[in-house]
Amino acid sequence: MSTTAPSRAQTRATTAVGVTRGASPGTPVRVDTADGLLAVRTVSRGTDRAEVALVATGAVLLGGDHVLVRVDVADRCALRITDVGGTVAYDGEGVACRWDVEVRLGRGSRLDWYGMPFVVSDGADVVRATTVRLGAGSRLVLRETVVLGRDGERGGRVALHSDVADDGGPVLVEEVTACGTDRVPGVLGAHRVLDTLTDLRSTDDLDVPAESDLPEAVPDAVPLSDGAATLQLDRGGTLTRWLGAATHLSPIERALDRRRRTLEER
Amino acid sequence: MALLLADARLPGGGHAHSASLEPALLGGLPAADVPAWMAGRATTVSLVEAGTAVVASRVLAAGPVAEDDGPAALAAVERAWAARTPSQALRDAARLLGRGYLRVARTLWSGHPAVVAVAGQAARHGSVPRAVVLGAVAAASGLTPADVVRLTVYDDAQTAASALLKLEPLDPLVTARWVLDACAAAEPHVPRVAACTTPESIPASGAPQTEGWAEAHALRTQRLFRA
Repeated sequence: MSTTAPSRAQTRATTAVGVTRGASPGTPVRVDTADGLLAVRTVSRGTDRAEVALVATGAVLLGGDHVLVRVDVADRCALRITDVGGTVAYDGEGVACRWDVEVRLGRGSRLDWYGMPFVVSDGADVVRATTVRLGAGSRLVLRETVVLGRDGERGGRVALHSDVADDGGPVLVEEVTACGTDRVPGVLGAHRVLDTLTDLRSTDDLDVPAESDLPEAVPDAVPLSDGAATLQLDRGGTLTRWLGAATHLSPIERALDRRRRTLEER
Repeated sequence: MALLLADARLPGGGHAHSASLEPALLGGLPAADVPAWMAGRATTVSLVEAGTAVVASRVLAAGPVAEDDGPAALAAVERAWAARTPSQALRDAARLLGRGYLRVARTLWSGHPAVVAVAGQAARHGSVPRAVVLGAVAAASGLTPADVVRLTVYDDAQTAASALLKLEPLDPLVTARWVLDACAAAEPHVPRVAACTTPESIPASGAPQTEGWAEAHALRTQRLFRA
């Protein structure tokens, strides 16, 4: 099908979110934002934390689009990001697109980002790169769900790059390349969905702001018998991963749902 | 030189490993998909190993010039490899293989600075991964970077092929064909990987399904191979 939105010229716009402590003690954190292909909406602010939502400002991703999201969390601040909707990378008709996320976490800071599914349509050719610099004692909790194809499609091509480092060197460097029309056993096999919950901390004793509504023990909540694997990285931290047929079947989704319900009942 | 290293009869401990094949079959990989899986390895995780060996070899060949920085430079190569190998089961298997390879290297190239340097690293850290030892052997024996890449890919594919014959009875000539196909699949990547000079430049191509299978396999009690 070629009912994609009209093509447009190479579009690159930076979306930025920065969180810093308030000017005086007891005042809310300052949230600086810039809108690009995604707009930032501030949901709440406290003395050491903020929550923002990312909202698409138009049809993303089209061929030639370059989304760049910069996130900067200052020392001892916490930020939670929620996506308002999933993202669809449409058929670029031969033109590739890019989705870059650059995160810088200050000392003792924390970022929780629960992304919605990123769907790679037939004909799409996407690079999705996430670069994170962890300050001493910081923590990153990131959920990334990539889906090959919309309903009834096989899906296009996607290259997922992750590069996480702290002052001690690389923590996670990974490149996963998948293509809906060329399924490789051992990479994703026949599966359409790659669901990953990343939980990384820089190795340091600094206190990290707690986010009370988070599943602290996700690896326990998502047992291997459920089909998810928890990878313990060499430098500490985990990737909990599930490969499957549909996002709603993911044990990661169920574990996060359970956690949300428990909190609502309190 | 490459022929000796590529020979499964060299007692390096490789016979106890299936290059992730047993975990894959137990995890549900159909035997008919083994050739595609082998080609997939040859263009993903095998290249991480190959790139690590190439960079380790270059760091070690530069040895005496940077003697003070030597251990730090070698440690940086190992860190780069570990950050590109998210599965603990696979890191453990590679470090175990590294011990066997190091024994071979210390016997055959005893006293060579590259081998001494890696033995020192192993003594400090308990073990070094196979790819780093392979880099020392390459430095000691003068293997070219392209040969290091081809050797790594071939060894990985042949290890899986030999293991398959123990797991699923098959004509060995059939698996020989698959090994050649896997090596051919990696060939376009050889120049790029052979050109790696820094830890950052080592390929990071992962295989999530293989990594998941490796973790599940590590918890099994009934298995023929370690990994």
